Amino acid sequence: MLNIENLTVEIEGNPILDSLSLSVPAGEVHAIMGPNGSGKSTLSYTVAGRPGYEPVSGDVTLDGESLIGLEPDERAAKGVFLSFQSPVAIPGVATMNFLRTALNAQRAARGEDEVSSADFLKVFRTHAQTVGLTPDKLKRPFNDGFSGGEKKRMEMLQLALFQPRFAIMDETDSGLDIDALRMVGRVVNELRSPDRGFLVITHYQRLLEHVRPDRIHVLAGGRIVHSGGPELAAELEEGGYEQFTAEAA
Amino acid sequence: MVGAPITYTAFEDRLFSGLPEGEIAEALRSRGLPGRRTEAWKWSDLRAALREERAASVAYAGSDPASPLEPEGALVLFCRNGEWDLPELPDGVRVSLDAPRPTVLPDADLASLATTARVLTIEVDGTFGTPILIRRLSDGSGTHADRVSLRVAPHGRATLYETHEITGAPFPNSLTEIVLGEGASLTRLVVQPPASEAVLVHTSLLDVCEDAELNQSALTLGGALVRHENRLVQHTDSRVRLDALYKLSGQRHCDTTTHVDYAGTGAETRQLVKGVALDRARGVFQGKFHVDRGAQKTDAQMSHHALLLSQGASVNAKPELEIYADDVECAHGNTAGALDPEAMFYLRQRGLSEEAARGLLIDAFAGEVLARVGDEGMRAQLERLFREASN
Ligand SMILES: Nc1ncnc2c1ncn2[C@@H]1O[C@H](COP(=O)(O)OP(=O)(O)O)[C@@H](O)[C@H]1O
Ligand SMILES: [Mg+2]
Repeated sequence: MLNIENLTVEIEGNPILDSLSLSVPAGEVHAIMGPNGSGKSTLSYTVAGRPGYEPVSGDVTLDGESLIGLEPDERAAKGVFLSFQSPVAIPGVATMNFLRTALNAQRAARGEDEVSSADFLKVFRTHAQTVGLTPDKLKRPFNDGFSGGEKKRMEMLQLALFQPRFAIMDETDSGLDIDALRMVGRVVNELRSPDRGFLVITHYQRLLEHVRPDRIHVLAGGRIVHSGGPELAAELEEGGYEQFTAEAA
Repeated sequence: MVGAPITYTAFEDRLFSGLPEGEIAEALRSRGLPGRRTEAWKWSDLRAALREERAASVAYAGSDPASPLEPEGALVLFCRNGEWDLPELPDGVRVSLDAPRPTVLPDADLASLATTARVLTIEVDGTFGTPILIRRLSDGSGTHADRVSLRVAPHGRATLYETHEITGAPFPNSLTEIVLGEGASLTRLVVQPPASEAVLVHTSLLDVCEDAELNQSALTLGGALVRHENRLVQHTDSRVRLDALYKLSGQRHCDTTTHVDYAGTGAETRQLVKGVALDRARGVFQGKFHVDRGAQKTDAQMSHHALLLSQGASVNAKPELEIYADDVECAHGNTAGALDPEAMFYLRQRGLSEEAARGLLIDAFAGEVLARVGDEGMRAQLERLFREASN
């Protein structure tokens, strides 16, 4: 499904990702753990096509098709979804109007029918309830005045709404309480399917108790320095990243 | 400047020789038209824009375009190349077309020049529920002037909409004088669709008496050189909202200049001006609140925010507070910048094209000004006009 091969990314001339390779087969959930500043968000931005994060070398493919060089919205239409580590607030942009426009833009790009306002509203309300966002919040401009936790709920609402083929979740768990973590688990587990993949970036074992990963990778110094099964989460919690970063050095 | 000999441009030569002898002619001849060297016009070089010879406008040749504003049931007054066309009048309003009353208006040479035109006087006594729409249609390549004088009697209420609908390359010079009597209230909207080749100066002089209320919004899409100048005097406990929005593309220019004098105590002013400049367009904002020693308890806020959407676009802003009273609350803010790249990427990650994301953020930026327009129908029409102007 998602294949990252020898990906090297420089920001302002500094190498951040260093020939990183990673493969997430369809139907699987992989987790990435790693110290602050190791390049986790850079990896998610590069896959999603954020301007300024064009790779120096290497490739990212989704189902064998390269994403490199595609516009961010083209990648979104192909099914790439990023749950942002720090989602922005966009004053003046009406939440529901934006999300319906975005959903229909993706669908149009894929040659699918437009979703009517009525159908959208129904689906939107259901998901809003699932993620625990009240109607008064949704009448506000996008993320306007939202707490960190509410913004993360809005990210999960969109994950449920867009039903992407491949979702990257960048520290969705940070700032969430136990109930919200459980909600994230419900949304992701509901969406898990043989033709969908997830890359879950986190610092904590907690989230991985709700979203059981098939594989866990340790990212340090811009490369994957260690990979293992779900049991690796406990090892990391116990011994920290050092045991593996030392191994890499 | 005093005593410096002026070499008139071809336009000035013709304009000045056609003026009736008197104070206005003298004043204009001694200074010439305002331009780069005039402090108040340094970013709007009218003199240079009008350099070429240009005759008085001939009769309006085109057919009337669809109005950019369509207020329901409005009383519509047409001014075509400076010639008024008056409809039958309903009760509750008096309208007359009077002979010119040339007057030298201080610090407003173009307004003074417009006083050589006939005066359309509109008088409202009680509550006049019918909105008054003044459509100024201009075409050709000549010059013409018009003067409107609106008086709302004490405790009266009125709504005034004004459009400048310009095709071709004329130079219309408009003057609107408004007196809001004690406790009177006026809602005013000024709309100017794009006019790439035209030069337009519209001066408004407003006297807002004690306890009166003015709610004003302007939407302008610019021209070769466009200046909307509003000069207000606010009396005790008057309340004014003085908003403007501009969106300029191509090589268009628009200058929003406002000057508020406080002649009483406890007056309130809320001013929000926002602008979007694209391509090689040039926006200008000059705002001044002049609070004299006696104008205690004045509460005035001025903000100007501009979005610069290309390398070649520019905005010049000069927000000024001139305060001589000690017990006042006055503030101003001014920013200029590009679209937030974080927000752009976020919207595009969710599937919006660059164009759609840009459009959404530009509309959101402008929305803050338009949201302050009370009438829902008018607000929707302004939103459409704003959105339809190219991004
Ligand atoms: N836009 C940027 N400009 C400058 N440096 C950046 C930028 N984005 C990331 N970096 C740098 O790249 C490194 C990796 O950052 P990031 O990918 O955010 O790490 P993580 O998400 O693992 O904490 C850090 O040293 C960070 O300072
Ligand atoms: Mg990060």
